Amino acid sequence: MKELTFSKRNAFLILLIILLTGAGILLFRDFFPQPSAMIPTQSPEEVAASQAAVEGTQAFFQIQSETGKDAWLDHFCAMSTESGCTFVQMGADRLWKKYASSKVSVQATVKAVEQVSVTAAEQVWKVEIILSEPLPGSNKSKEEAYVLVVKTEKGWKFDRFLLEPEIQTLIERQQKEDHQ
Amino acid sequence: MKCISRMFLLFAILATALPISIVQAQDSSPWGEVFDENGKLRSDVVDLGVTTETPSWMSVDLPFDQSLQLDANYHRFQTAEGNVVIVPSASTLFFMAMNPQESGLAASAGMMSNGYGSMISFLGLVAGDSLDWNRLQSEKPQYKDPSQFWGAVLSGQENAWTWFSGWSFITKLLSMSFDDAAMRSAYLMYLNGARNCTLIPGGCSGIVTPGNPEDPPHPVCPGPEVTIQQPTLTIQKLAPVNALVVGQDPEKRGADVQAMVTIPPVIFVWYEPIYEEKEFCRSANAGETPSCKTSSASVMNDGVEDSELVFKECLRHVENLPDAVGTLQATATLDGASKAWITSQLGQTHYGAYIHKESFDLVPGFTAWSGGCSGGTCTAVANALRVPFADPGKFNLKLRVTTTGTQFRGVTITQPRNLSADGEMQVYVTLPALVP
Repeated sequence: MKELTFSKRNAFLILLIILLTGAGILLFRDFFPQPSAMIPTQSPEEVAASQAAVEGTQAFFQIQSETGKDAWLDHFCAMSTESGCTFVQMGADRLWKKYASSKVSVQATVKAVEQVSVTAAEQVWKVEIILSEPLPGSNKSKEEAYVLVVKTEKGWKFDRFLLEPEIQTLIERQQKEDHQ
Repeated sequence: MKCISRMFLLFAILATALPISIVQAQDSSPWGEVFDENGKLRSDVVDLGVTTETPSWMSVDLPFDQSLQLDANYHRFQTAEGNVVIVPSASTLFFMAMNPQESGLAASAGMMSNGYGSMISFLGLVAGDSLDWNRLQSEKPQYKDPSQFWGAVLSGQENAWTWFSGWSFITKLLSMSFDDAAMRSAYLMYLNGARNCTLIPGGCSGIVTPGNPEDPPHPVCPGPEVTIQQPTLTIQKLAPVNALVVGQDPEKRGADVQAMVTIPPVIFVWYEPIYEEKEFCRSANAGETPSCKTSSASVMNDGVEDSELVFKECLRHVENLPDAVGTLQATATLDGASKAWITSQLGQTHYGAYIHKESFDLVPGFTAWSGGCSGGTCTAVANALRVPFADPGKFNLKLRVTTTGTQFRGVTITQPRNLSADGEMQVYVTLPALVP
């Protein structure tokens, strides 16, 4: 029987190779995840729609009473559909009166959470809104909302916040689809 | 916000209760005070103008306990008997339907719509594109077309909200203007006028109180004024200078006849009562915490802050309403004397002389008319070129026009008019003369 001999130097090199190979495998897994673990990327339509939901919501809740109602409406209407703009304009006077008398200065951070419904011309997005401070008449600074965005000639635009009966209908439909 | 689907249920109840195909006067109902036998608004109905208020029931919930307080708009009329009819804007009707008690909808004596069919059209118009028709057809194959489904919704058999796949129609509905005639299909009747005006949407303002001279006068805006201007109609021969009968003309030129109509706008002046919100301190009711003083004599807070609408002014509106041409007819007819001359005198010198064609339908027939309206003025023109007049003599030209009438916000202001104008033209014949 032939006896194999290792010098200390060879043994150290073999150990180094084993350690480097293991570290390489770990690094590869971290930086290049396997396809099954990849998160599906959003389509350009989804990106644009979710962005419209976020921007419209942010424009609505980004309230600086010092700049005036018209500036607030102009900014919001630039992000919304024409009818969505009209909708808010119809009730803006009273809303702004409250904000102006309370000297509201609120920053809004909005994040798209989930796409709830989608058609060719409309999408509903659940968004999370965080305000820098509560608005008059409210003690909340964080809330979720369901936002309707509509595809217009100028791209996807914020239309309105969904109403409670509509949200319930959507949730029920979603639950039904999940069961199927 | 309460259940929106109540709107459809309400429509269903109303539509089932009043399956009227057109608005008609009915002697047994108060609607005879409003509409004449042709379904038009009666001339003795007073236009009270448009009233705006901001009711609590017209509020849209937003995130963070915020809400949009929307304006309710009503175009209101008062009948000669003192009853009040209101026509809500589309958005107002929508919210009234959602809150029938609070809005006073339930207090109305009845609703006169333009019929079941038009309500289906209304729903189809505002929400038709949002209906998930493919899913509906697969699950409810008994509906062959959307109108059948809307009919089922109106009769309370279906819940429309289950079948929508789109929601943007809501803002479109809410942003539709008061002028949109398609949306103004509902008239709501409120009986007893000012004696019951707290129940009337828009309140007592502007409503006439007949037979109650002791009552303080209500600010009433002047009634509407209508000025109808005279149109200009002409029908004449344009060319040639001397039209020759085509039988003697190697070129068979004939003659050109032109008909023209210019209808100035109907000027409709109406007055809108403008109210402003005035805040005041009223006496506190039981259970209310006083927060202000009702008078300078009060030593402590004895009232609560409230607001009321106070009449401010009558805003004058001037509308130039187009009365468009609906039909235009033009004819040319050989007059009796010319016919007699052809068959008698001409027949003596030219044996066998006869009348070739004594009348021409110029419009329609020989040509069509074209026209349109701009800035309230409507015009129409027709050029009948190379009309082959074959008989000599005088032709009487007749122009007959009917207009469409004028409407404002879905209400007829002037009825269609019949207009006419006459002209004449000469057609010549060359006769040989014996020179001695």
